Amino acid sequence: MADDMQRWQQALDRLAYFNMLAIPDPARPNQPTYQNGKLTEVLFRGAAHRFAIAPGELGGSHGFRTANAVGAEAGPCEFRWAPIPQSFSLVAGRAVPPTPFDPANSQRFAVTDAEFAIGQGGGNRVKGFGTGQTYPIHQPGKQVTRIASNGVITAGTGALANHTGMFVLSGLFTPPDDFQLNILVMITNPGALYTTGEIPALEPIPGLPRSSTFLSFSTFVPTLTSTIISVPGKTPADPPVALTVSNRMRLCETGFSARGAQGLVSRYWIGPTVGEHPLTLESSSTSGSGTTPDDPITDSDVEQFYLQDGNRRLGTLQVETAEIRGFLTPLDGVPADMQTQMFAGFGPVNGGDGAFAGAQGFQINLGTGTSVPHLTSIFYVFELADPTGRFRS
Amino acid sequence: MATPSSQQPSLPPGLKYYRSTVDELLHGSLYLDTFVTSRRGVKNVALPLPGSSNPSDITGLQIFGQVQPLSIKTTVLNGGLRGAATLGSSRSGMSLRWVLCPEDEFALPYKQPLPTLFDARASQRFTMMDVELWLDEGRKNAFQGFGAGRTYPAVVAGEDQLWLGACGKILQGTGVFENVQGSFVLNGRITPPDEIAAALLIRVLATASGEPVAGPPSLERASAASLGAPSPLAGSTYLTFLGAPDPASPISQDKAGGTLSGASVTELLRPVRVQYRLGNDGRSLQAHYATEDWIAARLQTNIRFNLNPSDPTSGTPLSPFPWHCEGTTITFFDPKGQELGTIACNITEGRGFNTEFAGFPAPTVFNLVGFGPFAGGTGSFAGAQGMLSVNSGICADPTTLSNLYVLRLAHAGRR
Repeated sequence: MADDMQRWQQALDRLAYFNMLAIPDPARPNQPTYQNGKLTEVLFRGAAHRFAIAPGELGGSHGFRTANAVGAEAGPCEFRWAPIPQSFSLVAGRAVPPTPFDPANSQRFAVTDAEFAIGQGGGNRVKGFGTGQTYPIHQPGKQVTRIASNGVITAGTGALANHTGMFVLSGLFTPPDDFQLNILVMITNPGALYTTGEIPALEPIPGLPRSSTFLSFSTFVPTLTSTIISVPGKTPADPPVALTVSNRMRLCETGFSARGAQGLVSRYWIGPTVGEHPLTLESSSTSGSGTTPDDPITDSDVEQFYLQDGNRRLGTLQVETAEIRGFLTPLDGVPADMQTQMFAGFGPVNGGDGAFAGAQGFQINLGTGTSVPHLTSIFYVFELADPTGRFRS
Repeated sequence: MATPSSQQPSLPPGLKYYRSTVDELLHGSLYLDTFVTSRRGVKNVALPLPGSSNPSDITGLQIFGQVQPLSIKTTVLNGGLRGAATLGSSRSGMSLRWVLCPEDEFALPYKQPLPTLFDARASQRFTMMDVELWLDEGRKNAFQGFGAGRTYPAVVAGEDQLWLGACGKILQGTGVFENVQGSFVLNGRITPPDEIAAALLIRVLATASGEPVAGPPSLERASAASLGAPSPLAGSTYLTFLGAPDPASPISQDKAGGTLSGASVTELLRPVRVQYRLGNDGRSLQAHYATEDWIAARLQTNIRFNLNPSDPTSGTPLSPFPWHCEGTTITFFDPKGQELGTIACNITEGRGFNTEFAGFPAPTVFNLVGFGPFAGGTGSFAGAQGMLSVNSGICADPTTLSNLYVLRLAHAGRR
């Protein structure tokens, strides 16, 4: 069993991530749509740049620091963003009812016709759709809102043809034109997209205004005994309704490039364990089956991440995962009867202590897992507001 | 929390207690009058505004406070009231996230408000998240709570100030705060990012199972804390009063449609001195409060409740009912009964919590906490600026109350 666990964990960790920072492309501005003078839709059009988050440096007086770099390598990205009623169910191909954007209150929105080119050249693309939430920022005279969404990949081109996966995006949007979005794409069963070798170095672009620092962690379930299934499903075949899990946090780093001889490849380096992440996950009664892109499993929860340097507690990050969407999907190397899934989530960072005292920001996550036995591999990106460079190397 | 072996309500539900019994229960509350200042050697952490590269753009603060016992002795000198504040030494502390929020925010302990830019020139709502207060360094006697409040910009003697009023609920605790029903109210000043100076009045009315916490007044109380050197508490003079119903003006309840919607109240206020300390065993709390034997003020007000009897969650810790006061006037007297002046001051923001006393039909006892700024004064209070806060225990039937008021008079320097 122990050997099986290790093998399954390695299979879950074998994922291709593409982390990007999307900014406006002056040559292709956003296209807003207004009805009765009110904004109802925006076709986002921008450039998605390769975005690197270095593994965290632990210890010292700072507790935790990291470095971020935005690369020149970029491809076009676009998606249609439209506020939707709270109860609207987004189904592929279904028209979105025109809903006025409310800059003062949180709203659900749809992401449709999403197409992200990964790397330079634009030949490697994924397409998909999803839903998300706005988080307005209240300040006089400005109309800035955070938008965050997760979604499923429905098609691909080039090296990304015939692949499945999910995406999540998060960032600030000043309607109708200005935005800075972190777009993270995950491809399951990556095949030749996954590499353990070197990838071409990132060439940073200077001068990009930055008020945040991004940090990343990978989590996993260390042993079978770290999971308590507290509320069983109606039948043995049902997924568990509630899971209490003690995850571990690992340092990690992702990178990708399409510039090398091998074409588009992604590298996902996983480092040492640096903390714990206890979690209780509950499925809501309205959660879907997760069997089709239109019927995701949805969850939400409040989570803590306890960062440690050896035996010394460095700090705690408290986050709220406001929306998790999951889909049952086969994963190479993992038996299908373990109910293999991929999922994506997002939510606000709600403070912390120690090195993360007063931390404010947002987090997105993508990963894979199994229900029975319960195993996961989740990649988290935390964007912390950081005007003073407190978290920057 | 020790439970005395004194009288405890034992009537079958639905039967009424004598008012004296209820008064004893309300007077049996445990009070901790404390003063919160910035902790030495630990800087507060600014909560930055997302998307802004200006460090001055903040949405709140992670506050690290030092908590000291505060004791006020009220006297009359040269025709005016004088409050002599004494701060005790302390190993107590407090941490919380002070988070600005939109005006229409429905505050909840685990719900992060939408980021809201702090503006020192505007009155803004805020939440107090992840509140933790501990009496000892080992944090064996501590509580976690949640609250909400408002800022009030003010100019006092040409100096720009930002006042804070807030109230909150103890959600869980350990040691002396384990399984209690209690609340707190904050009244003071803040100068972001690092300076805070505010009175924090904590009141525990009963244990979670509805038992009294301090026993009837006839019990011998623990000795008062020995207090340290007086502190000027620069810019503020605090006065504390215990309010009780005026026998000459019975409380008149408004029951529009059968629901308690308000009351016309006249209270007599006596100066009160609150003292406490953690016992040498590190587990017991020695608390004491004593009123002066003269009536220092008469408070007349109209309380307005927003009770919703059809909502079972109304008045619960996560869903307190709003209340406020209208037409409030406090008339002050010296010990000989000579009028000193008046202050007009409404509780403009209040929250009410149901309080369970064993054997009592619920909900009839309410813990009301609230605050509001002064709106003018006369006599020796002409031109007075400041804020009133209250931690109140009231019973709807039989009608009675026991309210602890904190007045903060703002000024420049000592007064």
